[in-house]
Amino acid sequence: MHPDRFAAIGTVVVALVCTLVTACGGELSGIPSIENVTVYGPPPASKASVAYFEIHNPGERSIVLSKVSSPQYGQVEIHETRMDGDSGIARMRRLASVTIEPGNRAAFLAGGRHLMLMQPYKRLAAGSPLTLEFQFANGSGIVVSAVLQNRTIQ
Amino acid sequence: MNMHRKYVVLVFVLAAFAGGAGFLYLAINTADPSPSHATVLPQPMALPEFALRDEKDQPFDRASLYGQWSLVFFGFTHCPDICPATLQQLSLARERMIADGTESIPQIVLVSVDPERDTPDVIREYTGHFGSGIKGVSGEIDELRKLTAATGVYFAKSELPGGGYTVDHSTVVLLVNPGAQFHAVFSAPYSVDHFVNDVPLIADAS
Repeated sequence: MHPDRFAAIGTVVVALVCTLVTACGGELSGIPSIENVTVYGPPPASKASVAYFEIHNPGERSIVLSKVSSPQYGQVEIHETRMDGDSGIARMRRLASVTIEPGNRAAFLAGGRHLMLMQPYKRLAAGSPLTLEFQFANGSGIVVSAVLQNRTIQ
Repeated sequence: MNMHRKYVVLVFVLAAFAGGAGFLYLAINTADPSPSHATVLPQPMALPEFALRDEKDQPFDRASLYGQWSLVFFGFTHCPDICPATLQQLSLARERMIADGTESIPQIVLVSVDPERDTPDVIREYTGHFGSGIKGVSGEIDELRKLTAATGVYFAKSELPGGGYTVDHSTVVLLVNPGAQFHAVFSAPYSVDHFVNDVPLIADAS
């Protein structure tokens, strides 16, 4: 086979594989994803912004979210509001980590798990771009962009 | 069967059908519309006397609840999750009731269970963010406990590792009637629709 034709075929094969991996959203390689990110700024006189999102683990092994950081905030913590079903008492506690089992999604939603974003390095208004850096126990990480929002009142 | 008997049977069948349809219509249109989410107390319960301060640092007591329906929620301004989310829902619900022309528009009352940090100035700045019709009150722990103990509401300060504290608290929303009586309770999780649907029903039935 002529070297040029060999190179052309190889290029096509590589392109097809890359396309297939991309089309599957990384599922073939089991790469986790962060989806539906919403970040609300604090109401006046309050201190912490809050972030909600969903982590998808399409892989075959558990992943452990161990830390989240942001270049816009000096302190980011993982928290959970635990509701006692019988009494309706809400208790918020900090979580050291969150494990997402293979094939599962972990939802961070109002009234449940969430991020507290504190100590902004500068005043942030609604519309400010944000970066969230999710770090996992296996050394991998995901960087996500978001936009600060105010809660809709009307 | 002769024609006469067929005619009688046909009239009987038509009459039975008309009667059944009429019964069904009446059953649907006179059914008692009950609240879908709120739990209405068998008998409204008078609230005890208490002495708190509102966001303008004015007295807020039982008399402050006379004359209008009130949705009362217990929380604090340093709560990043359930408290602002609930106030957002309550505010949106009030706006929808106004838009719907609801007769009894409730005021929203945030009772801060964190008087250490939630001064009147802090509360005023916080509640103002969530729109009009929202009062924010707080006060001495003993006065707060008069109100919470009578209504079964729990709150307790909880120290955080590394410093600071949070306040564990009940997430119920109380519906207080214009006679300053504890009338009904909403339990989480709730939605804007729960309040928009149930508050007018309860008010109309009282």
